[in-house]
Amino acid sequence: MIEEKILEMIHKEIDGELTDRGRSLLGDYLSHHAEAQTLHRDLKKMSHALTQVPSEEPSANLKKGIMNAIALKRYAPQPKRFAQLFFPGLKFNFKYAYVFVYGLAIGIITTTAIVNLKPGVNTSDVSGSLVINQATEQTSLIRKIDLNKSNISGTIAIKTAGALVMSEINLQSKNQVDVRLEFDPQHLAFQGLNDLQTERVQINVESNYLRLSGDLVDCILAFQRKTDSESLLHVEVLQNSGSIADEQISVGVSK
Amino acid sequence: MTERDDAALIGECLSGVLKSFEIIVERYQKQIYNLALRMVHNHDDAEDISQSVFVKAYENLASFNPRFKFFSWIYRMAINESINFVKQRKIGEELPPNVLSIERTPEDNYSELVLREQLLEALMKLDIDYRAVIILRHFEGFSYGEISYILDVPEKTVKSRLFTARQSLRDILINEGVVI
Repeated sequence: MIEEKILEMIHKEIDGELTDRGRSLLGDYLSHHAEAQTLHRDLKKMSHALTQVPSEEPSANLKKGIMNAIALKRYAPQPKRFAQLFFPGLKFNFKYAYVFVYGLAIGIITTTAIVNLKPGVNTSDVSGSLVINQATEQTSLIRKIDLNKSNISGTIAIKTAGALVMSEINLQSKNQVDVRLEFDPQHLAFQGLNDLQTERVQINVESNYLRLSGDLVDCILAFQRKTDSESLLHVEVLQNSGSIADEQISVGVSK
Repeated sequence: MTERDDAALIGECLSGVLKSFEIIVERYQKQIYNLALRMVHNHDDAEDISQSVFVKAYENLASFNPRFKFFSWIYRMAINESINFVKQRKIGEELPPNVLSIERTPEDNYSELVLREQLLEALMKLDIDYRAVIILRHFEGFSYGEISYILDVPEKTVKSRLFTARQSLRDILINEGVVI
């Protein structure tokens, strides 16, 4: 059985925290105690082996993945509370909560009184069908750019659905291609994009433009119209600083 | 050109220069990745953890206290992220042996190499809090004080955890018939 004090000294010695005097005392002890000597030797060898484990290189795409994730987060819109989707200017205030609770209580009491006064309804006498009117936003194509030149092939389609503007990009190239979308932040807000092969694309998001660079750009970018005014989306495709496509596309609300 | 220090880069990041954060990522990605790798023993998971750590660091840069070293702060995030990951997935029980193999260098002696691999496997059998102190002390070379800041526990706790961790690691090796 090794004394607690000696165990502590062994660990301190391994960590280089033992004084010269402590080291000499430990040396004396170890020379007379085989069990402590074995423990000391094992722990020392183990600690040495741990420090010798070589560090490994992360994949070359790690930095790109981090920077892309940050770029997207920088301009991602803050999630809205459920009520704010219907009343954008709504801010929670406790005094309204009291008014709401009183109103709700009065409503429950009144409804209960009315229901109790009404004659009972036999559900077997009720017939007919219930129709739920599902109003869906129609997606309409505004502009499709077909590219098949300078080693680049694919399409860029700009579509709208209500207040949403979508840019479906599918481009392949042997070399790096840059897709730049410039917009007026007064009228359009970048909302996000679907799954993108981040190891093949570098994303750069600023308040008024977005740039995707890579040899395979395959994603859908979503923008939200902030106003009803007409707005322009400037789509540019570049390779080796040369322009492959350059168009100003109106994404205003169709009358 | 002198290398800009972390504080200057953080100042630039806070004023909106994203490029400065890229320098920080380049500077620390290898250390953070290796810390996560030793904690979770899987390359893909270590990359996911590293990405999450840097994104969180960027989002919380304004709360960084310049009294502390940036690398200790980001290590603190990395260790917490790794611990949470392990606790959620209970990865220690699920991993098959030899998920990772250590690259061999010409000066390696065979028995040392085998011991290192056995040690890494034994490390995964240690309780996550003990694994963390071993990694911070022996792989990263942090002092008791720095480990105390990173793990947010008193220095006394660091010492006792480290002592217990080393002895537990030795016991695991002995129980598995490893000759140290």
